[in-house]
Amino acid sequence: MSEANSNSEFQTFIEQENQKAAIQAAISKLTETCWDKCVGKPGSKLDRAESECIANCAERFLDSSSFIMQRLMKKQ
Amino acid sequence: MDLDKETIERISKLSPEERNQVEERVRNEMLRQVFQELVQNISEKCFLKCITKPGSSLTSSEQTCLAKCMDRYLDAMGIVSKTLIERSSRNSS
Repeated sequence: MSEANSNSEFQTFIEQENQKAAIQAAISKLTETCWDKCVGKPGSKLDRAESECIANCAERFLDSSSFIMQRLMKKQ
Repeated sequence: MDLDKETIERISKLSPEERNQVEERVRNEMLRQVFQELVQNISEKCFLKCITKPGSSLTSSEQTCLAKCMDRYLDAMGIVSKTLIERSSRNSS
């Protein structure tokens, strides 16, 4: 394998790892935020309302950030 | 994680076996960080929920609460991950 080839392969590896880390960070952040919003006293399982709240919370958080992003872009 | 020129040059001189070792170490380091952050988040969130009045030791009901809280936190994380996966497949189709 040529040096340039193996270099770009390694860079691809790093990019993939970075992407994985970004997804992990998003999951971690969303879980924290939605936990605070949705979960009361920890029981033997998440009840239906809590589970639905968490799923909606994650979706609406992402909607909110893209809304904010678009609005900021328009202002520029 | 950004690589400077010097690092890239050094990596290009490694044998395939050595490069695999480097990749393995990067993967392990990433996992270690994810795990550490998880421990930190669960500790913080569950401390806030379960230890309302810190006493001279953890009571058994506090420990029960911490255990449940940790399991529920992992459940919540599972719901978030599933939601993100569904969302990304919805957006790409």
